[in-house]
Amino acid sequence: MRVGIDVGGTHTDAVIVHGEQVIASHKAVTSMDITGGILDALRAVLDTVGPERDRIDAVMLGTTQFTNAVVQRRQLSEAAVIRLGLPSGECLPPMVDWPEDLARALGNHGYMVRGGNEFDGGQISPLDGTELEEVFARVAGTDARAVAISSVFSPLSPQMEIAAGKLLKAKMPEMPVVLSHELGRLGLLERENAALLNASLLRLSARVVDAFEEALSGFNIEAPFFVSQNDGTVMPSHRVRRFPVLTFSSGPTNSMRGAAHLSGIDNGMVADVGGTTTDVGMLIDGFPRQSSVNVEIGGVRSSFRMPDVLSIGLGGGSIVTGNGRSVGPRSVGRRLDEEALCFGGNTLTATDIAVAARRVKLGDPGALDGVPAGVVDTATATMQERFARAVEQMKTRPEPLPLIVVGGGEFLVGDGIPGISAVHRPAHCGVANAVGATLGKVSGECERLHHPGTESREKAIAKAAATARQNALAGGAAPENLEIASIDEIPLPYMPEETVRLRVRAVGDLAI
Amino acid sequence: MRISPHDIDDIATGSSFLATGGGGDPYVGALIARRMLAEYGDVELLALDEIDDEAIVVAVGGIGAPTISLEKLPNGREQEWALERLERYTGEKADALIAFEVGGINSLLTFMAAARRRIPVLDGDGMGRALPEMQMTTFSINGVNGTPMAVVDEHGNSAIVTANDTAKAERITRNIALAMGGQCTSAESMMTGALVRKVSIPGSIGFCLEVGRSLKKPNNDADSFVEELRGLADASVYGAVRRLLRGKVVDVERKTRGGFDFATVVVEDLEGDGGPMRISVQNEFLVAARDGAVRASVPDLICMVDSETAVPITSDRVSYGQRVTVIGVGAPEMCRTARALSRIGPRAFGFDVDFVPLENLS
Repeated sequence: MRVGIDVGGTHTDAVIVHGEQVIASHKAVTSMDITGGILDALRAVLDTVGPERDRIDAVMLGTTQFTNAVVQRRQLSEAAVIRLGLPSGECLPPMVDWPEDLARALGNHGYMVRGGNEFDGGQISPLDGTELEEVFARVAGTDARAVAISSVFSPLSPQMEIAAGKLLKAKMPEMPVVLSHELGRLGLLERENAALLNASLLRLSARVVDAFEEALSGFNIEAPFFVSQNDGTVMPSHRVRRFPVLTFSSGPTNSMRGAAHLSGIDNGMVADVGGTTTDVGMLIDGFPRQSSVNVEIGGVRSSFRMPDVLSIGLGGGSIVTGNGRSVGPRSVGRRLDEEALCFGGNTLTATDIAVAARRVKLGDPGALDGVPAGVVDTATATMQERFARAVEQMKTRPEPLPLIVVGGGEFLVGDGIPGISAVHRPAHCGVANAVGATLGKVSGECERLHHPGTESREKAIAKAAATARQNALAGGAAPENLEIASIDEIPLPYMPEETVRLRVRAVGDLAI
Repeated sequence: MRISPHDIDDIATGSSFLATGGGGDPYVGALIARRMLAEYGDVELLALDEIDDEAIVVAVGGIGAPTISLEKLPNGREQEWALERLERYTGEKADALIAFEVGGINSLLTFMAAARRRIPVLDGDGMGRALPEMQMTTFSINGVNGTPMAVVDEHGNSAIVTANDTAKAERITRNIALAMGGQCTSAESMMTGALVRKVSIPGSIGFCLEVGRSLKKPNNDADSFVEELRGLADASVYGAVRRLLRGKVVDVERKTRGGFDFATVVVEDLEGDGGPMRISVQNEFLVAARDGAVRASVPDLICMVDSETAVPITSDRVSYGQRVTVIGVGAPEMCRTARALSRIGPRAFGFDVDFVPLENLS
């Protein structure tokens, strides 16, 4: 049995999954301190299964805490970043493009020293130990609690980052170090941003992991726990301590993975209808299609693998105005239970419209007698039109595809959407995100530049695949069914020698 | 007209449209140019007829793989160093700079150097778009030898190249770029004001700025952008504007050959009944054909934007499923002369078709 927990902005959901079956589920309001809501949800599902809880063999947590810490500039520690690469990049120091308040929250400790590699492995400048030690001494005089190290072309040549990290450890054994090549891809600023944000989240991640482990032992659960990443895979808790940024944007991914699992549909569209927004995305072979553009987190350009999701301001708490011609984006949010007409409140919401249209039984339908039928019809049509447009926008195949509707507000979506073969509302679709968290695959990646002139394509792919597999195993994958999930080859233009950027990803089941 | 840090973002956006799919991601270039202008002050953009006949004008820009600079960031002084080396070699001092290529990052590099030197940039360029090689500039087409040229790397290592013609210079510098880590910065094509006026495409930087402004309007979509683009093109040296297709990318076949990215992008029509459009790519979008007939070809501009947001899409970012609008823009007449077509017409890129102006194609 697996426990899945999803901490969202509005709701904290928990489920227990046995084999393919959801045997317990609970939806709670996210508490201000986060942990309280998690404990409540966990307690509720554990009570449902009773003594069976001894058979739990893994707990999976999907959480927005780390994303929100960055977005809200809360609970971040000061952190320093040292870039190896001078004289290149002198005009663009670390944090160059950051919002000022975020750079200030991290203490503005950016340093540049000589070092870095060329695309072909040559050195831009040799690493200078004396120069580095001067920087270490300056870092020691600040309030920085962790240090990120970035180096030019480190995803292809990580040696300099590793060497600089060792020198730092020798000088400051207690100082946590994050090396950028462990986190990111080509694109120095984005990778450096990720490493620095990660460094600033290390103390929070230690607290979150400690609190969660304590909670689990309080419930006498000895099973290991894992945390969702943004690509639909999970990492073991010891990795979250080191790499909290990898949890960014795992929420939409979990709902889409959960939708695929609950419906048994691997290729189709998904709409996750929440309290304030609806996320629409596309499933390809059971995983969300990834975004091809750089995504910003809290105003910082990142290179994280993010699901390509369109978020529209329409959910269960959306406020209905203009006699139904307008629904959302304003929403009563988590106050739905007090403010919606059907719950005795004074605000006409999208949920009220669905209750009045007999799409769902909730609260007191009698409270809606005063809402004219014309308004209900118009609002229903308005919502359907917006859902249909969002689905149409995200659908990238001409043939009709199924639409899986999940989330607490699934009843807002009607049948009959153009380009959609059928609308599916699987059982437990309200907690699809927590179900998605339990699906725990493990992935590993390898990215390198390949020169077809000097090495055969097959050999290059085989090498990259071996590294990707190793990385997956290190992340907790079982060796038995570890598969190469994708091979991307992107030719680099304007180079005299043919050069291809090769990216291989291995995915496997969790070894439990 | 003065160019401020704020205008740089518009130029970057406009240049990624005029890059016709090439030129790489303008993010790093825009970031540096904005900072340089903020530090050293606005740059004067001078119309071609405002420059003195005897003034010395130099073209600056980058050579090599633009993707390298997303990892190995520039030092920031490369253009200035290149200019100094060329000036030392020739004994002449630059009074103004010109971009050899308005499309892509090269328009931005020109402003960085001009800001540090506090000299004007001319409102014009040598391509009116993006093209892959030096001998494809209107400077070279009209008989200007691009050399002597100076190339430098981020350390300040440099080389002076002199060659009998620009095509040879191109081959030599491309190999120097490789030795310099995949890219280098050049100062080249030193000309007098009188000459530069004869061999440059007038107004292309201003046009690029206006196009960028239009693209960045909030709540923009491709169709409203195309309407505005028509007005902008009418007031410029550019020709007709055609919305070639609104559709969805259904296939991207890629391969590299001789250092260039060759691809065919297939876009399916989402509105009409016609067959899919096939766009041949060699870093830039070069020929668009549909139902067996060419609908637009180089040197006319074939540009691609996101249909919903009007964000320009570069050829290395094109992927299956994107909703795109393909837009054709007639090249300036200077790019359509017989001599120009022998260098930058479809046959120069290995296509077995003659150039037909966009406005004469259905």
